[in-house]
Amino acid sequence: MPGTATLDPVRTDVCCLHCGEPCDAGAPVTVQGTFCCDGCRAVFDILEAHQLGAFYLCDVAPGVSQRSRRSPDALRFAALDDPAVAAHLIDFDDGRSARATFAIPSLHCASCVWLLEQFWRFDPGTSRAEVDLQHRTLRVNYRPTETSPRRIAERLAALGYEPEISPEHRVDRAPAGRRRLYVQIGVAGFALGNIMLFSIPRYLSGAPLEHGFQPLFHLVTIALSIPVLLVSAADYFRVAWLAVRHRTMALEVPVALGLAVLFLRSLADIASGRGDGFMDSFVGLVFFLLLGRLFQQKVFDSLAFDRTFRSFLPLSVRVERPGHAEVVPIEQLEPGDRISLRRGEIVPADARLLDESGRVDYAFLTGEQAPVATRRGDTVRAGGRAATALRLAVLRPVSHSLLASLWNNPLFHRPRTHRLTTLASSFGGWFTLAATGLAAAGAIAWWPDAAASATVATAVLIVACPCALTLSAPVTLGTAMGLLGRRGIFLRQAAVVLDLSEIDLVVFDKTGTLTGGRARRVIEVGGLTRQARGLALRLARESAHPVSRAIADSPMFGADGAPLAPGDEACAEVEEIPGRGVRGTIEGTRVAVGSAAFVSDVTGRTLTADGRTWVAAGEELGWVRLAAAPRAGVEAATATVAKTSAIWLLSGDHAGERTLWDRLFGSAMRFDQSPDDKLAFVTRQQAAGRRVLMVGDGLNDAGALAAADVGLAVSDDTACVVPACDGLMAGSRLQHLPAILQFARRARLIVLAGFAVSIVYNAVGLTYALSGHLTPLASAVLMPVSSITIIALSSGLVRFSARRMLPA
Amino acid sequence: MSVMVLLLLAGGAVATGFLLAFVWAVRTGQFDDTCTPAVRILLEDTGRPPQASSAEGTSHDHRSR
Amino acid sequence: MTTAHAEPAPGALSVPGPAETFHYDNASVRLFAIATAAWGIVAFLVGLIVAFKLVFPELLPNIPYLSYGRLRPLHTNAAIFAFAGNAIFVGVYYSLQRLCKARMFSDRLSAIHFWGWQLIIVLAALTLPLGFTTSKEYAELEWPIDILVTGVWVVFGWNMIGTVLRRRERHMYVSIWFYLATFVTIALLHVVNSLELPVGMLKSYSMYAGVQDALVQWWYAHNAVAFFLTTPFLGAMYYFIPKAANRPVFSYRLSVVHFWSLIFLYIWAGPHHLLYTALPDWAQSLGTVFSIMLIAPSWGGMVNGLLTLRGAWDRVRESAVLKFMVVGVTAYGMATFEGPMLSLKNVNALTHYTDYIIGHVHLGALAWNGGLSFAMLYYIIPRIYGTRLYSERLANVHFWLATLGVLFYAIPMYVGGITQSLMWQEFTPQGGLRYPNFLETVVRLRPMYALRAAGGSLFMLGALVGVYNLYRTARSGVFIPGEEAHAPALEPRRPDGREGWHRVLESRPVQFSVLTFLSILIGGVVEFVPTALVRSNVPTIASVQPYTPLEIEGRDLYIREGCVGCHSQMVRPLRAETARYGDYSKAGEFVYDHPFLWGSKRTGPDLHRVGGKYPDSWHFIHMKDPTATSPRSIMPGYPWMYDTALDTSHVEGKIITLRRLGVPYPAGYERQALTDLRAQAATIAGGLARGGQAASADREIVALIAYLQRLGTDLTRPPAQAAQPATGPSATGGGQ
Repeated sequence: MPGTATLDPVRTDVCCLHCGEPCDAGAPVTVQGTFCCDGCRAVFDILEAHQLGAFYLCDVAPGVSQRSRRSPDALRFAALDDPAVAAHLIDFDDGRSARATFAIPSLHCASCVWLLEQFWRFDPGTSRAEVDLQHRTLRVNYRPTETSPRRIAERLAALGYEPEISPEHRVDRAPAGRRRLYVQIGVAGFALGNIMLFSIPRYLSGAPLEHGFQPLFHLVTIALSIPVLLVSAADYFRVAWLAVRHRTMALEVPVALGLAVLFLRSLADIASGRGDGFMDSFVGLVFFLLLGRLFQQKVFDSLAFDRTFRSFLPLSVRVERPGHAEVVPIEQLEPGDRISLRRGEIVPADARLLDESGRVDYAFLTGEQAPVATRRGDTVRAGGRAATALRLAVLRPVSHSLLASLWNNPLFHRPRTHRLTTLASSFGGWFTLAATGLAAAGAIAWWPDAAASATVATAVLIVACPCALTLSAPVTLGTAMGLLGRRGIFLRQAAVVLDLSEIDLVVFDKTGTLTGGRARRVIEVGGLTRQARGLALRLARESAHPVSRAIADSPMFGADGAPLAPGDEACAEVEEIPGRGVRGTIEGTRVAVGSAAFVSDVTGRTLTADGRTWVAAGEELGWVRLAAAPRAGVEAATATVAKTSAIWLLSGDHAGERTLWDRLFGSAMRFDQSPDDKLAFVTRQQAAGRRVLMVGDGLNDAGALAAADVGLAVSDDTACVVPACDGLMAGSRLQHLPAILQFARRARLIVLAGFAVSIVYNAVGLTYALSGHLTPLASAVLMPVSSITIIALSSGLVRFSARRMLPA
Repeated sequence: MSVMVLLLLAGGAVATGFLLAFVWAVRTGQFDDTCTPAVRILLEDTGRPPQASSAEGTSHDHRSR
Repeated sequence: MTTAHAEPAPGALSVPGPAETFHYDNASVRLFAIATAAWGIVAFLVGLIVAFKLVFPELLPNIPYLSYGRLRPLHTNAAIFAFAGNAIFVGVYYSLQRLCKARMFSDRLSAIHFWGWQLIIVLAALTLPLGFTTSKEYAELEWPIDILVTGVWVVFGWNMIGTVLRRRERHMYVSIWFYLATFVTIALLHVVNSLELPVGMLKSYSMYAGVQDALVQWWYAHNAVAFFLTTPFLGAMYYFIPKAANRPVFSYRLSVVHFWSLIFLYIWAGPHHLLYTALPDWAQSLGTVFSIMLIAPSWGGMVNGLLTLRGAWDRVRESAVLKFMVVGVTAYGMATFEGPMLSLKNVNALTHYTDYIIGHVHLGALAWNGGLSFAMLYYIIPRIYGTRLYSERLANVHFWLATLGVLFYAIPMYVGGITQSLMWQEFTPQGGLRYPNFLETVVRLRPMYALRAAGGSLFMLGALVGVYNLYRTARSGVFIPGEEAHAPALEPRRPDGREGWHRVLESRPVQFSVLTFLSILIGGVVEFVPTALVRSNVPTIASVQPYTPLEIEGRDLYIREGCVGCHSQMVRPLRAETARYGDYSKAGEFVYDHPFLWGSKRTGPDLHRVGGKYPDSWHFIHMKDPTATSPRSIMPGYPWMYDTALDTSHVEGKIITLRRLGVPYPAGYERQALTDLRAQAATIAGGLARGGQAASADREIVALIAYLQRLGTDLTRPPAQAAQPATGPSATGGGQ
């Protein structure tokens, strides 16, 4: 606590020449201007050296702040020298030329493109460099003989574009799936446009066209539909086939059935000269189905949703070998290796402390805020952050660390099933049965006339094809997902919206989820009379620092009632000492609030630093214990959520704060929860038939997030590392959770509405079909119209309700 | 109206050509990134800074209008 | 270039070199820019002359080369191919190099392209006034020039595709796609529409006849507008608006969708130019449907262009470049909305053949093409001369003159068009035409024509100011022939593994250019199919006979003098027209018309039923000085046809050629043709002489009268004595 309680008055008048952020006192100042940090200054100097100062002309302070950048570490990318690690970046390497793709989260503007695409100016070993702003990647061609991925990575970092090296999956630009979809849509669109060219005349003139033309047009029509069947509609048939093979049901089955019949019937009609077929309906349907799929495919390229424990660990670590130190990828660590970590580095594997003492911060692992003091011989767990420099002896290989064990849980590997798929499949089954049944009925009804009954049966299957039905869910959910994303709530995929709509139990993590930011509040006061507290309150009111604010707002100091120490005389000679505390004189009494060191200076009594904040008022001495305060609006939000569904609090912290939360959670709270405890809890609830939404951050929730029906990770910047989850949201957005859930339920209703409408269309079509009057024209009109209405209706309604229910 | 056959042939040939071109473009990732190209054309490769490159030539006569 | 493995394909730069230094070819850009400005002035000037001729028919000495009928095609060709054409090349040569980060493929090709194109224009400027024309709108040039055009166009495409192949930027910006589409499509359209059989060096007959010819012609004309006056300028828009505003296009994704949907739809929308004509109904309606569908992509483009400027309107206020672009793009939006509307049957019935269409096309040509062209010049010239625009104030003067000019041009045309159309259709309560005399409706328009001429003058004035401004700009700077640039070479694409058959398609525009030439080739192959293919299956009418030799000569004079520019030959099945002109035109009546002469504008009355309407003597007097028979007529006289002897040297060749095209002249008839011609001429001259008109049989006017008197009479004439004169072609009986 004392460590973090720095008081830093910000000088907003001066902004960094490179990144435009406000500069603190003592920021580096050069002849060119002021910088917020040495990192920014370094980048500026490099650009100047390469005559790329123009970088600063295309934007005001276009740079990326280097403040948060890790202490320049010569060995940070050393692991890239290891082929196994580098392989994740390298697209190809034939010994003479090679290409590597780097993920660079900080890519953001035209200046970045301009600068990085001239990367060859910085590393003559490279040639082309291509920025992809959409996926935040940089693709560099280089000559392996002259440079290396490591060199490139280091130069990029030096420019302030630190590449993010993910040890598991290689950096991918656009998913191949989307290219496939584009082609399919293109082919279908092309065929649609041209088939209309050939069928419209027929509809307009009513009668067959002049001799010679009709057959020609029929041929062209068929020629155009074949690629649609083979390319555009392929996926529907494949999925349907798989479903049939595995005796499962999917909405694709009736769709594929309908499409197949539509195509064959048309073929038959044309071949036998009985009619003009339904090719235009066929192509139209496929086209719209694919459009629906496009809606669904809205993804947030620059966000990574699935991280495993490996992402939280460094790539490599310094190992002390006899006589020298070397850097090895952590996979190669063996029990007994002696590793040394700098302050702020992550412990790669479970290990034993070799130093006399040290402090390790497990906040990310357990949620416990205060760093844990460890002595020689204590075990330090992988995933902890070294709060002091540490020398450790590895106990187990990385893959066997306690952290890793969490990921060995099978549920991390089982594919997630979404309500949508189950819902769709049930509908699918129902539909196929109904359709085939009706078709059979129709066939029988017309029986004596074989031709007619065939016509009717096929017509029924054509009309029954639940294409509009298939559209409503993707369009609705896809749009909903997009709208949520625009409001800072990013879902992994559209189906999650539906899952959200059925949640009946919400489990919260505390630290970093419900709480966050620097705001504090008083949870415990020791050894202070009412009088002293009153004085402390009046002093605290003089300062803006979180600690002071906490005291000034605390009921324990009488903030709500009349001041415990009444008096109108203002504090005299108030002074704040950055990083230590605040003191002043009130009615002759000297009052001080601050760190142990600070207060002992003021009072002359020796105090030990143990996380408490000390208060001295005249001769009185006491302390307060502070805890992170809930995020703005979160308490209200939780209360609202509680109205519609059960809520639970699972915290990795000690039970010290229990009292603060029981107003909200009552007995539904558990403390000192290990990651596995949380995971177990969630699975138990699910076993009890609950649909669980887990809201958490950090590693300690990873298991629960993965296990829950929906796992929402809270994070204060989307580029930072969050565990595998179904969705990401900024901490400030958590207060909108009730709105989000309500919106999800509304989206569900809209999907059902869409279903209803499409069923109406099918009913209309069926009457045509059963009466044997399904003309090509009828279906050519009916089918696209239904698809379009569904698309318009769904997306329209969703947007409308989003505007009404969601915050801007 | 047999000439229509001619027109269909001709038009069809071009249209098909474009369809193939479209497929080629998609498959080779031409449309993977629809963000950067729009930005990239604003930047000059003649060493001139982006702004200067697109600064409207402000006239010699100092006050227009 | 698709090498997947360690060893590079021969010639492929498999080892990426360091950044290469190269120079953008500004010299060609400069040449095309100068040509654009110069030809622009010429085009506007000729336009003004014809505009004024409609107000003051006696404006210029009445000599053949300056007659309205011959100058009008000169104006359209100059505006489209000389002004807009060169402007396109300015835009392409400037932006393509920078988009590809590469110099143009070959300086020699660039030079051939430039000088070749200018040569074509000069030839056009010479032949059209001399009366050498095919009479097909926007394709008037005779066959030798057509071939030249094809050659130069291929050079252009070659140069462009070569550059694209050598580009140093992997992504092909959307503008490049628009440019490539322009090249491919125009090549095809030109080839298909220009299929013709030569008679002499400067005379040919269209491969197709009547309805078929009309269909091909308007398929061509429509798509010429689409792919010559639209796609290249859209490409330029997507480059120059972002550059000038220094902000990325509003939605690049939308621009890509815009391109492909336009490409997949545009090619089919031609037939809407033939509503109510003898074209089959379904084909007409088809044209309409597709035209309507075109609104979506067109407006997508406009919106994308305008939204790019959102938040930058302050810059628009200052920069003339952006002002021109905004007005241009807006006009594009209006025109592309108007177009589909005009293709609705009932709207078309009202506006077609009137000046409304003239207003419509000039809205596009002056505001959209003109605006964008000048915007490009204002953007490029200062840059390639390394200086600033000489005077922003003058640029603004130009802008306002041009904008006013367009308004003063379009509005009178719209008003006039509707007015005249309504007068044509107005009936008296007794059921007769309210204005039976066509002339009344023309006279009513003269003030509008005057206003239009004024608008044109404003635009012209603006253009002059603009050119002066650009000239001074150039003077104030130093020309930079080669702008230095640096960029790393484009390495051969590497296989991403899991990609299959289309690996073939993978090595970039190589395949695209292959496709290009393939489709041109198909177009070429189709060239030889036609004679077999085009054998008309239009319902023929027994009484419809081939033209007599004299009538053919008369028809060619009709073509030479550009009568088709003001007189249609297509009576639409509308009460107003049948009441005014007579029975509506049937497809079967045109089976021997190579080329068709339906026309697209009625400055004068329709002539399809003029045959036998007046005595020969009337025509004889009227053609010399129209006002003599029709006071206040604005039609020019054709005195020279009375002095010049009819050139009969090609009669034989013409008969042979036409027979080859399927006109059923009996074998060997060509040998008898001349005699027949003289006989018929003598008959007519005799008749005139009896009527007191001193006419010698060998004058051009006689042939013209013969043709006019034949027009549209076949239906009314009983098949028996169809052949006139008796020895005529029908000796072997009529059409097949």
